[in-house]
Formats: sequence, C-alpha cells, structure tokens
Amino acid sequence: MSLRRVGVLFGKEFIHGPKNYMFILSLVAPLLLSLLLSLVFGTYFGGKSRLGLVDQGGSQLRGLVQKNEAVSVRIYGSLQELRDASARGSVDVGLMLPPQFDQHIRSNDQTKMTVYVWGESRLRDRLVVASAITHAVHQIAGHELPVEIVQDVLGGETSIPWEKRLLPMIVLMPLVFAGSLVPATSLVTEKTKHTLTALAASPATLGEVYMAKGLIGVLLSLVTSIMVLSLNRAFIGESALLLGVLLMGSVFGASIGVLLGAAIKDINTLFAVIKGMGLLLYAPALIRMFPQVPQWIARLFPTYYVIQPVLEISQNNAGWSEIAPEMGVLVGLIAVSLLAAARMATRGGEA
Amino acid sequence: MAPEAIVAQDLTYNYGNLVAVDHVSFSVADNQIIGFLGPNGAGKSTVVKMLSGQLRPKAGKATVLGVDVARWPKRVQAQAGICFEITNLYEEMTAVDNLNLFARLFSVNGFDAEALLNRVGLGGRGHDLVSRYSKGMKQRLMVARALLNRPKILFLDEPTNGLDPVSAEAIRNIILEERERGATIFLTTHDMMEADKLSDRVAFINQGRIAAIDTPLALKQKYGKRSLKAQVMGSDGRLKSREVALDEASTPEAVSELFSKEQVVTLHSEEATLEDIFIRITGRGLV
Amino acid sequence: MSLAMINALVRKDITLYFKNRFFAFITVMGLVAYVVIYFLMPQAVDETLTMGWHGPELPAATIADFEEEGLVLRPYDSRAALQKAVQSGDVLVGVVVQQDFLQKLRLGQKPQVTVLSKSDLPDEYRSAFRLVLEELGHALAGRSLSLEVDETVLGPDMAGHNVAPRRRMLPVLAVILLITETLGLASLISSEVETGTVQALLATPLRVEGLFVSKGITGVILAFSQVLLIIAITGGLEREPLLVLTILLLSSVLMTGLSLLIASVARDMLSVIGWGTLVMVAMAIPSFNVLMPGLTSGWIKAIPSYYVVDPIYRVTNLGAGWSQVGTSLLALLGFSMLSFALGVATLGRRLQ
Repeated sequence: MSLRRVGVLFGKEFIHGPKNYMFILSLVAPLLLSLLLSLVFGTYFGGKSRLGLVDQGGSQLRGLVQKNEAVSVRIYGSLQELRDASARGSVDVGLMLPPQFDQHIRSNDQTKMTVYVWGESRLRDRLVVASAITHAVHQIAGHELPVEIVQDVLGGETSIPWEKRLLPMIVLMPLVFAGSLVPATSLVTEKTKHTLTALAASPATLGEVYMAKGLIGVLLSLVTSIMVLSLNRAFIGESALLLGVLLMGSVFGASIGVLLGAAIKDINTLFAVIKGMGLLLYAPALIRMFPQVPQWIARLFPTYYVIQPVLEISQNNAGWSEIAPEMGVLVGLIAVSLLAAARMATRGGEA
Repeated sequence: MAPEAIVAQDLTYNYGNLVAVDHVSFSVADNQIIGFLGPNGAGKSTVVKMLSGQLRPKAGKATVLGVDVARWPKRVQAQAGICFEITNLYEEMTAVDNLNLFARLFSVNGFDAEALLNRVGLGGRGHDLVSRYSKGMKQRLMVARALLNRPKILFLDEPTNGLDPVSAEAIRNIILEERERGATIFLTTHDMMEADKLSDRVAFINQGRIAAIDTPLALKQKYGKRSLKAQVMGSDGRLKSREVALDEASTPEAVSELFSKEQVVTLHSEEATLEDIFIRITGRGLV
Repeated sequence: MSLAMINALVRKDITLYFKNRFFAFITVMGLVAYVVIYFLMPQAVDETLTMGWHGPELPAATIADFEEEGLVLRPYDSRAALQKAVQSGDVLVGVVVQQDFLQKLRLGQKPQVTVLSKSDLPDEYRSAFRLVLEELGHALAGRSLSLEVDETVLGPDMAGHNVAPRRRMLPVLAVILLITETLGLASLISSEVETGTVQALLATPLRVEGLFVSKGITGVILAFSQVLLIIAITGGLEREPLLVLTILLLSSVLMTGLSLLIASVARDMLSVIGWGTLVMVAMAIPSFNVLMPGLTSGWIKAIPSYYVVDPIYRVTNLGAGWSQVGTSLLALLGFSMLSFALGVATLGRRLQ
C-alpha cells in the first residue's frame, strides 16, 4: 500500500467530493436532524404542562407560576392571540387576568378569569396548571400553606431527562450519514460510472481506493460528530477520551460504508440497504429513548458499542476503565469490518 | 528473434457457465501492433482484461513484458496504458484534472497535461468539464489518459468505436506514433479496415477461440480469393452483380462467357477483405 | 394512447422496481419496521396523576372533585406497603399523613405530609405532584378563593380519552412512508432518462402523455398500496374507511407528482437523493405539528402534506367526517393536481 497514492486519492475526494450531494447532505443533515429531534421529542415527551397568559394588570401571578418547574408559561399580547394559541394546542390552558387582579384578590373581591382549555390537553395537565394558578393566587392573597410537605426520596436509578435520552440518536447520525453513506455512495457511483475500473487498472490498488474513501468518511463523521455534540452541549467530560471514542466510532462507520460500497453494485440496491440498515444502526438509540423496552436488547446491535462509551463519558464523566469493555468490542467490530473490506479489495479485481 | 512483449498460453475465462475465452494461446513481439478482430461477444475485451491485469484467468498463463500478469498485475499496469471499451472518465472534473489525477497515481514527474491534450486534439478544452465533451472528445481523452505514463505496452479496447471519421483517424495516427516511439500495441476492434491498416499481425477471435493469427497479407494470401466483380444489365432493365474467381483454371472461359452473354456495365477486380476471410474461416460476419 | 401500452409499461415498472429481490425484501422489512415502531409506542395516555395514600379517609366530596380533574388517590394500609408500591412503580408518588391530619388541618396546626418518591422521578413530575398536594391542602383546610372562572374548551374535549402517542404517530408514519416512496419512483424515472431507455420508448407509438400516465399509475400503485397496508394494520380504517382511502389516494397522487418533479431536475441517482431529501424534510414538517401541536403557526398550511396529515389525524383520532375535513380534502385535491401537472410539465420539457 502506498500512502502517497492514498493521499492523491484522498485529495481528489476532498476537492471534488463537495460536488456530490451526499457529501453536503452528510454535513447538513445530522445538524438539522439533531435540532429537530431535540425540538420534537424534547417538547412532546417532556413532562411540563403549558400555560398561556394574558396579563392586563401586571399581576404577580406570572412570576409565581414561572417559578414552578412543572409549568412552562408563554405570554401573549391579546385575548385573540391567547384563544388562537389554545385552539391550536400551543398551550394546554390559556388564562387572561383582568386589570387590578392582585388588588381584587387581596380584598377578597369576586374576580373573573377567562380560561381557554385546549380540547386535546390531558386531564393531568389541566389539573397541574389549575393547581399552579390557585397556588399562586393563594400566595397573592397571603394565604399560608396549610400543610408542611416533606420529600422522602427513595433509592433508585437516576432519571434520564429527554435531552439525554436523545443523545444516542444524535451521536449516531453523523456516523451513519457522514461516516458510512459518503464512502458507500462514492464507491457505488464509481462502479456505476466505471471509473473504479480505471483506478484499479492504474498503480492504485483497490485497497488504496477504499482507504481514501474511508478516510473521507472518517473525517466528515468526526467533524460532524464534534459539531453536533457541541451544539447539544454534550461535548463534556474527558475531552481527549471522548475525541478518541468519536474517532473510533467514525472509523467503524466508515468501515461499514466501505464494506457496503464494495459489496453493492448499484445505487438502487444501496438505497434499499440503507433503508433497511437504518433500523439496525439506530436500534440502540431508539431503545434508549423508551425505557419501557428492556435495555439489554441494545447490546445486540453493533452501534451500541459506539454510543455507550460516548454517553458514559458525556453524562457520567466516565474514564477509560469504565468504557474499556465496550471499546474492546468496538475495536473487534472495526477489525472484522476492515478485514472484510480488505478481503473484498483483494478479491475485487473484477470491479 | 524479437523479444516477446506478450505471451499467452491457454488463457481461459468464463462468466458462470459462459466460456468467454477458451484456451487462447498467442504471442506478440515487442514494438508490434496486434489487432484482435472479432464480432461483439467474441471474447476480445475479456482477453484484454486478462492481459492488463483486470481479470485473473481461470486457467492458463500470460506474461506481459516478462511479468506473470496474474501474479503481479500492478507491475504490468505500471508500465501499461489502457484505453477501456466503456468511457470511464470523471465527468464532474475537467480534462486536466482527470489527467493530473492519473499522472499522480502513476508518479509521472513533470507531467504536462496541456501538451498531451494538444497531442490528442483537445488543446484549449482542458479546463472544461468532461460532462460537456462530445463522444469523440471523451474518447480522445481516454486515449490521452492511456498515454500519460509513456507506456511500454498499450491496450486499446475498441478505441474508435462509434467515432466520426475525423476523430477515428486522429486516434489511428496516435497509435502509429506510439509504435514509432517503441510501444507494443494490443488493439481490439471489429472494424476490419482499421485492423488491416494498423496491425502488423491480426488474430481472428470467435466464440472465445482464435480462429487464425498471422499478418494481414499472409491471411489474404492463404484464405483470400481474388475475383472480378461486374455489374451487368438484366433483361428487366436492372443492374445485377456477377462475380468471377480470378485464380481458377476456368477463369479465362468464365470471363469470356461474361462478356459474350451479358451486357457488362462496370467491371473491377477485388482482393479478399479480412471480413471475407473471417466469414470464410468462422462462418459468420464481424457484426 | 392505448390501455395495453399503459398496462405493459406499468407492469414493466413494477417488475423492475421489485426485480432486485433484496430491494423488495428491504421494502417489506421497512413496512414491518413501521408497524413495529407503531406498536412499540405507548398505546394509552396516562391522563391522571395517581398518588398512593396512607392516612385517614378524606372527605368524599373533595376527593370526587379532584378525581374528576385527574387526581387519583389509591389507599394503602401501611407505610411499608405504600413504600413498596412506590419502589415497584405501581404509583409514582406516595403520600403519608398521620391519623390526626384532618383535625390538625382544621385547627390550623400545619400537619406534616410526607411525600415518597423514587430518585428517578423527573423534577417536573415532582413539582406537579407538590402543586396538586398544596391545592388539596388548601381545599381540605376549607380555604376558597373568590374567583369566577369563565372556562371554554376549544376543539373537541378529549379529556379522559386523549389521543395515544401511537395514534399521533400514525399520520407521521404514513407521510414518511409516502415521501420515501417518492424517492423510489423518482430514481426509477431518473435512471430511465439517464440510460436513454425513455428515448427508446418514445421512439415507439407510445406518446409522452402515455408515458406519464403509466408513470403516474405506477407511482400511485406503489405509494398507495404501502401506505394502505400500514394504515389497515394499525387500525386506521376503523373509522370512515372510504374517507381515509380517499385521502390516501389523493396523497399518493400528490407524492407521484413530486416524484416527477424530482426526476425532472435530478441528473443522477445521487441528485435524486439530494433533491428528494430536501422535499422530504419540507413535507415532513406538518407531521411534526401533529406530534407537537402549536409548534408551527399558520404558514404550515402552505405545505401540501399538511392536507394529508391533518385530515388523517382528525378522521382517525377525533372522529371527523367528510364535512369536517371537506376543506382539507379539496385543498389536497388541488395540490395533488397541481403537483402532478407541474411534474408532467417539467419532466416533459426535459424529455424533449
């Protein structure tokens, strides 16, 4: 193998690669999708009830309710806006406070509140919002809490908020998109256009071609992974170790991509395989999002050994000793896929 | 005796149950042009692929420039130039970029892409995207790519197929120039005139086997028959063709009969073409 | 344009589509995966806040009021039993009060309320339970507020029978499936243009219109059959089947038009995927609105797939009928026709 020739081929991929849609997509898609996922799942499956508020009198109620972790508050400028927001489900409950609301409450005068309820809101959300409102009103009225509430927290697993449950999915996307798709599509395109034949008949070996394509996948995957993790404020913990894990993950993704590209003859089949493999690759991340699914199932999928070390470092500040077993398996998986790609390279004189 | 650039012994290749090349043996002397002539599907491209290291023979052996090509394909490819049957250029790159890429892969020092493009008649178009090239231009670029490492042996797989006469003639001139430079050229074609014009030796290949191999002249002498071809006026007022073999004992009588019994409109002698010989030997045409 | 020609072309296209057995297998596997995802999603919405209770029996009227609003108090005989229930997850939260709780409350002596919960209870839930407990405390203490509430429920009141997450996902899955199939058809057409076989077809008695009709039928068959299968398996045809079928059929026409549009601009397979992904992302946005109502505002109605997602959601989950979704149906019809016409026009220009 000539590193010089690998460099020549890598240079060609780097310079002319951006003309390929997949190259651009692999950079942009993981970023976009990670933002979308956080938005969709973080908001939908999050536990907060939502209150919309129009405050015509500068009441203390707004500040009191906002202090509550169970309720998120959105302020609107008019009754119509509030009604529209409630109708389309932007909030569970919409409340309009009349002028001098606080004064009326303190004077124990009968006060009218206009409330809109989104028909599809859950009972519990209505109850929580109502409780938050009445609690705030009691505070405005000067009523002391009639009971003393003591929290007794029993042992158990640490809860995983939705932002953290999404992290595996977010970590995997650059690996799948950039790491494997770019080399795979590049190789299959070269086969379709017969340019791989031309390369194979030059001093360059198929192994060198595969390595160049794989390197591009690694580079794109690593860059995108770092960007995505940073955007999601997850590039924390031992940075050097995390970088090392991301690098190994990128190598794994790229080796899968090269293997796919080496084995598959046309884009239609590649597209079909990607459709099907997507589930296999994303399975550990999907399992993680739904704790009711037995989590050991995730270990059956190879990408588990990429995301688990990342999560351990990022969320639990793990060091090398904690992630060593998974890294060992990952190294093994990389070795197997690289060996398979090497075998295809030696057998692939008939590209 | 001139050293042999190519020696093939019992070369065999099959695609599944289809035997594409069936125990083919031949040799090519250094600095010679050999034309492999045969119809589509005869096995010409498969032979080229085996000799150029793209395919490993299922049986038999081939040495190119003294190297066992099955064992050391890259050593052969480093000294070879290949013009493929199918156009396989990077269309999203310019011609210069295409050539520079391969020049770097071949470690050609001081490579001048523009000069080579001028040589093949693409001067001034080097910085255009290949996707904008015509078929003839792409083929010239393919030939240029095959020449960039000043190869000792050139494999040209149907280099003028589908080209206009001007482009085809340009490529033939390049082939002759390369021979002058000292390269050995392995040319496949189903254009018998091209084979006749360019080749020092011609091999007829049909259904994976070599039916005959010799110089064009020798083949014509051995298998070809001269004849007189005449057009005569028929009783219905239409021209009809008549042919009289020229090297037979009965030739004088046949010629006399032709002139006495027919109204001869045109008359010319013709020697056998390679296609005629091919048909005679194999029983089928070149297309 | 003869029916026999169209028939021949449609059969050829569908055969080519599935000729690659692996591709066919993966398509089937994809369908299976969508169904699996659907059934993995929670099938019910837990609308109530359930608390375990160990203490004196509370006034029935107060409890009934809170139950109506979604609070369920489940009594336990002992603190140990309640603790076990919390730890095993039978209840999220357990409340322990002394037997003299109500007396102390009446006397204004601020009795202690112990809240048992596991450490994995999210903070939002912890706060929510605390809020409700505080309100319960005020109610039991007899403290009322001089508030008059003018409450209006907007839209159908789904309290107590809210739409389950998997039912919300159904229109999302359907749209994603439809969109994915646009890429399949677009790649089929694009490869025909690339390889020149479409020129060969047009050099026969077949006219361009016939070609488009056959591509259109192929696209609709492929998209419709797959989405129909998903909807049928997941129970989406239980209500107003004819209406749902109409929506799916029009959706298939819409997506087929998009396929033609993509094929008209794409130069090769990769650009099909590139352009197609852009279209996919745009078309998928309305489906996020079903998952997260109120995420987007009015502009979402400019996206054609809104008129696929919204009626399917309302028909399958909110009991809407023809009259309620009629406007959306008309809009979908309009968009479908427009998309198909645009697709035909742009692809036709490319073929010429």
